Amino acid sequence: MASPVEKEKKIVLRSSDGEVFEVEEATARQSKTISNMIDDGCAEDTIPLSQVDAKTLAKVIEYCRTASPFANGINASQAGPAGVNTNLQAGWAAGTPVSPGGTASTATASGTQPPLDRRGQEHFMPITNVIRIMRMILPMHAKISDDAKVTILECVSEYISFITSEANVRCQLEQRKTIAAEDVIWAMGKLGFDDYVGPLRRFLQRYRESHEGDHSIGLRGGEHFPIVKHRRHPQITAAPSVCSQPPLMCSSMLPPPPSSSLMMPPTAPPPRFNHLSGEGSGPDYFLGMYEGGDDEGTSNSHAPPMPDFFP
Amino acid sequence: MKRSGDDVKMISGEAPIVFSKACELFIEELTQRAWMVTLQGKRRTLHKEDVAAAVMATDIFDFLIEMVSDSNGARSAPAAKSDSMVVER
Repeated sequence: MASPVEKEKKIVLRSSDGEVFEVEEATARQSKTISNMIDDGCAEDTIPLSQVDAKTLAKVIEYCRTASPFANGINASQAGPAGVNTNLQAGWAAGTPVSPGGTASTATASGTQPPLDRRGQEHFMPITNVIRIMRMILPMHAKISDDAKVTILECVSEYISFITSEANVRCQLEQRKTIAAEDVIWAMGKLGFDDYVGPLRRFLQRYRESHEGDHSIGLRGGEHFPIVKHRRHPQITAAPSVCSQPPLMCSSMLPPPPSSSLMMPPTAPPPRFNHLSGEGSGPDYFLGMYEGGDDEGTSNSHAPPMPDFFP
Repeated sequence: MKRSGDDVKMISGEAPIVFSKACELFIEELTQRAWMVTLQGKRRTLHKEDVAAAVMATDIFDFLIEMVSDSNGARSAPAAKSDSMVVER
């Protein structure tokens, strides 16, 4: 990196309609484009973003800010209610992502971690969920050191990357753009986690059965069955045949079958993304942000209707 | 998940759900194995070294070797990671 101090320098971004946003460099670097510009020295005064309007840019900044937990010098002019990302932020704040003992090392480590994450920072799930799962397994008297907690947290993130990469490779080979649940399970089997495959298939099956008519899915990283309890709707609107669709569903996903209500990849212009990008055609990577950051791994009970994948 | 891959564009609605359960299983397994190492040392506190030992001892956790050995200063042989080098390092 060219700039010596990453976490404190402020970058000024100007949207297409002339509004100016000041963000921390670490936050701005979430965008590869901006990151390149910074490195190339184009960021001395203002970075003009002629393809992004103010409303979109504000949302992107909100997202980026919560995606980089160490960039916490929030500029008051942009620190809105952050409706999209409140849950994730709360999850992190409540979970105290890194305990004091490990803060320094993890913060530095994140800055210099191998670039598995293209934005140059590790993104962790809330650690409270991880700890809770650990405690479920361990005997009552067991203690867990702070560095062990952080290590396991990092391992889980690595695990997700690992599986996702493999699933992604398969999708690319098959010319598919969307990673399906089946791809994930397949990737696990391929990478040696065969023991998980059976339970995961059963879990997925049960989940599908209980969400036949449900269009709002909240994703909770640490919880499994509580999802079912909160989300269960008495009415079952879709035909049962939809739910028992075979795993081959994933191969027919690209032309979305009209009768499907389960795995509808938002390849069509998704009106559901309005609350994320403001116009449904934001930056490319943003289109795939199915949760806008407020779902993955959060443990709070806020239940936003997430119509991202269901018509 | 999305942030982990360069070309990952879209993820179906069910994939994160599968992942959440899978992560749970993963944490359980890793914690359990690490705890066994802790017990072998007749201790009651699970340390990072126990996690590292569990990773070393388990084949499928090879992709984690570099991650746990980073701070330990003990570099494992690159040969240990054969086909688990899916993610770029």
